Amino acid sequence: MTNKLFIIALCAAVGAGAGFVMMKAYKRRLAYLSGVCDMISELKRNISYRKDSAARVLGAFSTSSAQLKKNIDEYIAYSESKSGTLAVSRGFLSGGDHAKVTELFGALGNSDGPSQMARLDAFSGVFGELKERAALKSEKYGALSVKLGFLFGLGVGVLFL
Amino acid sequence: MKDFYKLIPDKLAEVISSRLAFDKISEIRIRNACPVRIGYDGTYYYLCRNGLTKDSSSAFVAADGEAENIVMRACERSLYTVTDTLRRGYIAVTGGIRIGVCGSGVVSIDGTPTLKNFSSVNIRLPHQVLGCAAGVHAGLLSSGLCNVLLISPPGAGKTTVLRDLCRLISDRGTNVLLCDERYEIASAGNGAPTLDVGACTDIMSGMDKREVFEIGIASMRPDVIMTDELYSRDIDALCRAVHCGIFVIATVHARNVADFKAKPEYADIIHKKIFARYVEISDAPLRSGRITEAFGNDE
Repeated sequence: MTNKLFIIALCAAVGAGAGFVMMKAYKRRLAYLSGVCDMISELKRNISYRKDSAARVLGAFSTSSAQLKKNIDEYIAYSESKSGTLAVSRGFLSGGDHAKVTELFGALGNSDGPSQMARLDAFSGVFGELKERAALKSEKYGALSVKLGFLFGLGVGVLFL
Repeated sequence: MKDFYKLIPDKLAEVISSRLAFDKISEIRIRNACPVRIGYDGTYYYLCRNGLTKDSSSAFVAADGEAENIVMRACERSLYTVTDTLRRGYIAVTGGIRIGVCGSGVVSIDGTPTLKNFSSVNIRLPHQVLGCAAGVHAGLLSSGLCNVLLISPPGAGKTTVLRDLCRLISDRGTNVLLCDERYEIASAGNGAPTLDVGACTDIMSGMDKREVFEIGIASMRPDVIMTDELYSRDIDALCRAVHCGIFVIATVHARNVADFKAKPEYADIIHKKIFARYVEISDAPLRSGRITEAFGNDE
């Protein structure tokens, strides 16, 4: 009997763990997109007055997303290099998100102030929308995935026995 | 030095750092797909694997698009940081380096002309020659300030003389407002000068002279305003400053005093006797900055 209860508890824990991982993935994406939106705002604020280089602005920018921090470091390394090739690592990002982020970093500094501001406004819209959707998804499915994972694990454990 | 090496291709940087004396370099001219020229110790050479050469066939040839690469490195890959100066044909880099830029003209949507398709760059390095203006200072200004115009053709060293004169005047306790329109005199970066322009010098960098004359007089109450490269458009602002009782020390492009006086755009300055003294700086190549003659207004 103890063994059976242990197996059920184990399956429930594995299910809940899987749900927790999914919840973390939603939150990680949300943190990344929030960071990108904050980064764009910071760039726009700086360009409208100080006009420091993008690398300098991003160098002083802090974010809670480790992946975004990595992408920023890659951009800074690119701006200091003589090679002129920008490589933005994908990490956990989906193909679509990665393409948009690569486009954003690739567009930094390529034009004069007004054009750069217009470009950043456009990116702000795109990433703002993605962030809203990610927030909604995280809120809707984040806690739910843990619960569903737990129940699914429990069900599997019962069926297994 | 580090700022300079960051701009140029590695192969050029290696040769310069290993075979040349950095403080003898005045400028390096890089034209797309052409041999690289360097101004070194008062003479022009081509840059080659062994250092300097007069033979263009053995010189390093700049890559196609090298000028654009240099421009992008100079602005840390953020063109919007330099568009204001780029439309005036140059980029100011930290460390007092100034890059003259050539390319095709283009008019932006708001009607402002600027450059695209960069074809060549001239990277000019600042040099401070402490004491080079001691003669002018002793001869003209030791008994008191007066309005002085330094006259020389481009490249003769008038900015170097002006910088040293600024240092000498400022270190004697005179409040100097330095109008460094092209970041060449004080080479200020992040709010601090990288060259010695004196302890009592306030610096306005990157602003139009006319604005500095107006704003600076009202807000900083200087004893003397010093500025580089006067043009005819600056004359009204200059006259107003002088009439406010502020001394002005400036430079102008001309071969000599006679050449300056022959230019109709400066007739007003001469007629109004704005400057009490003219100083000619010799037309030596690159950065000699030797003062040859000083004239009073009536001579």
